[in-house]
Amino acid sequence: MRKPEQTLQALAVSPGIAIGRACQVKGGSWRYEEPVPRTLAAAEIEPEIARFRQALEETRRELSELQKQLKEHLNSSEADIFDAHLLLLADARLLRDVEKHVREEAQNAAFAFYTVIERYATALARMPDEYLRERAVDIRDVAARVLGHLNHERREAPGLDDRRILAACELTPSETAILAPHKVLGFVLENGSATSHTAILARSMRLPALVGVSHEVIEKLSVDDKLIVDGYGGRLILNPEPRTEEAYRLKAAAAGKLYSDLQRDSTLEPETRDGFRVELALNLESAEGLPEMKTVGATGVGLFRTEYLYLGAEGLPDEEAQFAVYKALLVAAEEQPVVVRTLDVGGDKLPGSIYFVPEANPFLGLRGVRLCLYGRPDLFRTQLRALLRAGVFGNLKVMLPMVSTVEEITETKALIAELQKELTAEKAHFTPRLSLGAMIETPAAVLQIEQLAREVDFFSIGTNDLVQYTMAADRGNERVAYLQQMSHPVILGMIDRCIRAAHKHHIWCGVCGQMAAEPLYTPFLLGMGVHELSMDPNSIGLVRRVIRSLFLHEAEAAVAEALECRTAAETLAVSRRLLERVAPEVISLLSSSGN
Amino acid sequence: MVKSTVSVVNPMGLHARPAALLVKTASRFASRILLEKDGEEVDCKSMLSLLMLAAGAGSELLLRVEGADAEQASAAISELFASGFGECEPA
Repeated sequence: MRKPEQTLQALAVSPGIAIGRACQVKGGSWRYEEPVPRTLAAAEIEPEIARFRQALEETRRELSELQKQLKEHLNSSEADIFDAHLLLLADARLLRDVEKHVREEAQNAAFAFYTVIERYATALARMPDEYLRERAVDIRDVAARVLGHLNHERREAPGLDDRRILAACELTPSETAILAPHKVLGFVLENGSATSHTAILARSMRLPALVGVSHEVIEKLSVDDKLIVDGYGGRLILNPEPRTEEAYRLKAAAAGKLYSDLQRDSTLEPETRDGFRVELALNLESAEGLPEMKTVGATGVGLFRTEYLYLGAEGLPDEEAQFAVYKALLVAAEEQPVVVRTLDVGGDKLPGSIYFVPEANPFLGLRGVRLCLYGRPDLFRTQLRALLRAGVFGNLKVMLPMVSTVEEITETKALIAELQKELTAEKAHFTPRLSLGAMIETPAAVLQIEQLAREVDFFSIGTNDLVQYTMAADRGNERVAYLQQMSHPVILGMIDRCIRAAHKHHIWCGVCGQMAAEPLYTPFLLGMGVHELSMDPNSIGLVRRVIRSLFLHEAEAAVAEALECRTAAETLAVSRRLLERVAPEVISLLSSSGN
Repeated sequence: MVKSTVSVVNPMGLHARPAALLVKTASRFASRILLEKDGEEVDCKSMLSLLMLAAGAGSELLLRVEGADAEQASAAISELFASGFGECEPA
């Protein structure tokens, strides 16, 4: 009997659409399992160590070869990942630990090696820093190869008769590299993130990839199961009906063409057909994505989140450390604007090292600028001093999160003035004129937007929180998920009000929430007169295309019509109608992602 | 013995790629090159040890170099840290 079609949500980490049969890679094709411990006789110890060294040498040769191949496939620096792997194999500390274990415990090399590797990998996997956590995968990846050589297993990529969609709980970078690109259509993974090496490799190989697919789903896949991987919309479709498959095939062809056009268009100005310009900027979690600013043709950084500086393993960063990070970021951005958001913790992500008082309603608690001003003013001073000093190295703008009163701005400005005096007294080099903005994400800020506009140099609207606080519906609560209506006329009205106030007071207004990244909202934001849209790098091409497809008056007419609507569905229909006429290629891509 | 302080300025911290660069650079010198953070001192020529330091963006490390080419080694390592391991430059 035919298995029923099923659609699952997942996180898209590499764009594209793949249609094909599954190939489940169980626990990695490079098995990494605990070897059986075996006690060695005294005479066996030195030969065992020699065998271990030889296995390392064979692995080293194999990896060098793999690296060479990869460099031919990819003209990127992704092959450098293997530099780290090769150095691990030559690591004196690792060799010493393993040989010591073999000698002192008189146990076989495979077991000794496994024990030592696990000690390090486990320690790394527990680190709060995502990049270091991912290194645990790297270490286990190399280790699996070494174990293979110790056990004299000849390891090949799984024999794929045709191109398949790889499904695995976790894929290591070298597995990804050895399999792709000629045998693989796409990836479906349980573990990983947008910054894991496998995701980066998938992107550079232009293969779609999804992560966050549950273990149960992956385990249950059989070889004959047909899948569709939608790396645009973050969907996995199991056993698609012929009709679904046909629709996706058409969309895949169109999307492939569209994305290569968008790539080509990345140097085109983000302006309407009649020449009205909207800045397209990047949201960055860390400066890791900064090089992508140029590839996607962004004109600045619209939101640089500073939380990671505080949430890392390092404890709280001091002024010098922060100064160094901001300075490097500004220098690398080469005079393009960089909006740095001051520490925005509280709510769901409050680390105990910063401030910890249990709150019944953390989303309505001491978070964002509230925490900075009234919970940990010492941290705020340090961050502002570092920003003032870094400001001389580029086009810095500083944004305060969660503003809900005028005093939060005026008190911050007073603090900045005080710090500037301090820095003058210290004869330090700093910017005397810091561009200061408010992130607009509470209804109170919107209702008082004119008063706020007189106090700041810019606004940036955080639409996700604005929706949550306006609809009074927790973003994380599935039972009220239906209320997360970005397109609700009330929300559009609030955004319109903010942008109008910005124009009236001659300041600029951007949007850095999810709304900025969704092409269906671009006509509205454009028509309202938004100055800047800040988003993830994958969305910039589509948004640019929509902007370039429109005349300003068309977008303005859409806004006027939407503001008269009664429901979220009605406003969306307005925008969809407009885009179907001016940018049908964008609409067809969006419908494939179920948007 | 040459002592100095270096800070991690590249925003991603001392992860695999910077650590690999450090090991490669350090291995060019005969000197013993040690990095210390929070009282933990490790050999700059060991990849694993560097990763275990978990030196994130903004952390400060004490660099100690001992040997015939200590001056040059210390300068090369400091330079690498100051340049953010080439990760702060646009592509």
